[in-house]
Amino acid sequence: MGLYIVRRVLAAIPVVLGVMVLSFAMLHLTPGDPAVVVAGADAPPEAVEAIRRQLGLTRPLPVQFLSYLGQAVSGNFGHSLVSRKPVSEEIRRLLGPTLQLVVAALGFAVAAALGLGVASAVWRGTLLDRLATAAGVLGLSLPIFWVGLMLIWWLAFQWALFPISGWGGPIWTARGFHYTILPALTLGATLIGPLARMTRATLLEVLRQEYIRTARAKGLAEPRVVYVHALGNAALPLITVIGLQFGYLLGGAVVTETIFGWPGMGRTAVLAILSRDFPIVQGIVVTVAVGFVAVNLVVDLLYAVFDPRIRY
Amino acid sequence: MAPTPPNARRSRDEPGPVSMAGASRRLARKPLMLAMLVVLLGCAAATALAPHLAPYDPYRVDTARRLELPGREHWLGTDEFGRDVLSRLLHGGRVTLVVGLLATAIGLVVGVTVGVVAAYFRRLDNPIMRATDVFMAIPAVLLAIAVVAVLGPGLVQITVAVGVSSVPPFARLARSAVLSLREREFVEASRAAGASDLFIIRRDILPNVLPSVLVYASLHTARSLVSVSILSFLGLGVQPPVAEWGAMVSGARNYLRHAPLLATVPSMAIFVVVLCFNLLGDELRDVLDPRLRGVV
Repeated sequence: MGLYIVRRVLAAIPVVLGVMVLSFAMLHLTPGDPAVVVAGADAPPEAVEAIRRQLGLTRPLPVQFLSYLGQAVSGNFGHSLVSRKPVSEEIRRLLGPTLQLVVAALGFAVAAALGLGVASAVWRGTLLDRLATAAGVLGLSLPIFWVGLMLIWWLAFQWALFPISGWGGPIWTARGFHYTILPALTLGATLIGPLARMTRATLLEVLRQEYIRTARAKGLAEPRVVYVHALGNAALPLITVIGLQFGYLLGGAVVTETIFGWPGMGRTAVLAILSRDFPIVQGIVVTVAVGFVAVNLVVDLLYAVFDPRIRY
Repeated sequence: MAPTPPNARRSRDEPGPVSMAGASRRLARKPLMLAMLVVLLGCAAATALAPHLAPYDPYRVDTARRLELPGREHWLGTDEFGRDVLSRLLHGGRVTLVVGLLATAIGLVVGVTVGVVAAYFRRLDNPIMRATDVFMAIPAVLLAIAVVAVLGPGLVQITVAVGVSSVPPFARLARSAVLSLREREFVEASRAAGASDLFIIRRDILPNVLPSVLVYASLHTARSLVSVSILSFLGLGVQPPVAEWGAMVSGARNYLRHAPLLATVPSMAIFVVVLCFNLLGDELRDVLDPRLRGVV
């Protein structure tokens, strides 16, 4: 197991290095002079020259790459071209809100999907099951921005229950929690469909197993059979689906943060592109990719935790 | 889940080349799939014929009639500049659908080529797959955003952006399909008969990879359409005043409080098309290749 973890972590390193190469190439693959691209086509020559010096573009390309790589490995992506602050400092500031949004959305989605999926599996073939299945398929295809806008219109404008947008602080404060609800609902809603579908399918599969019959035969209460014996064994496929969907979740976070004026990495990446703040875009792309790789790694490792039969 | 009939089990355990024959027979038994096809073709026809069908010029501004509700003159109302929403919806659909389909096509052609090359020429396998690992490590929307960051916002740029982010999944799918095919007897027979690599790929491999690729292409088109509309919604895709579904929602955002319908109309258009491609993919999988259940 320990060896397996080490091997998996080592295997992730080339991927992360590759992402760094890609993010370096991003700037240099641009048609034309990168400095002009960053400064804007109509920038005065002095500004272009200043940016060229600031980005170190006067040095030979391999030197630039090695210095970029060396800096990036230690988490240094240079300075924002707009705020002039170090990119690492900006990202540290953005990390908390994004994590809060993603974790809250994930929590909401898992809770809702478990409820829906268990109900569908237990009352299989009933109207409720069919409605839940249909809702899952429909929900999967709803544009996330519309879900967010309608939640704002309905719960923030019509009912004035929640703030329209903004960041209210960490989720454990009352204000922060209040501000997190609508964005988390928006982002989580996209995940409920696939998760509920998977819960239902695996639970039905598990409920046919013999150890479930044994559990029932020895007189355990049905809720205990479903929630402890069956659901515990259905956890593995669910974790897989969460891992697979995590990329879409991060993509959805970009939209959700933009709609709700959430001060996280997604919204900042969009703003940075519009203001041509390349170092920020690079830093965010690398940070998100590292996070994504880490989540997939954790998902793989959780396999061993949830299924003791798996040994590496 | 119903007990598996014995013949279904056999066909799953016995991976054979999947024939397209019989697909049309199974299609006739799939009313949902036919309905999806009809809706999609209807959408395609309506947007293709937009210049003839649209009741108004989608760019004609009429400031006296801003944000009107649906009525006799404007069936779906007017937007923040008094432009006819129905006309913009029809014209906008052309952009969304063409960009979404084109991006999937880029992903399909490049991805399948890369995947086949990786699986067939084993020496290239490792480097190619490690490269797709890197691309897959960046979430699709973020990868598309990074490409837009390089190329700048615009129609061609988002097509390329979404296309690039579509390559890795197609490459992986094609690679795994080819890996199992290339050891099969009919491929070996071709090789023994002296067929060239190119001939084997064209005649033996590609036709057998096609069903799973088509299934995935339908599911992936749904994702491409979502990515395209998201990029436009974020202001990174099509630039105003060009009509495009995601961009229309973006414009309607500022008038949400009093005109929620304005954001809803193009959103529902996206919803219908995405839903059709998702369901079509699910059904296609059953028709073309039942073994793919749970794989794609």
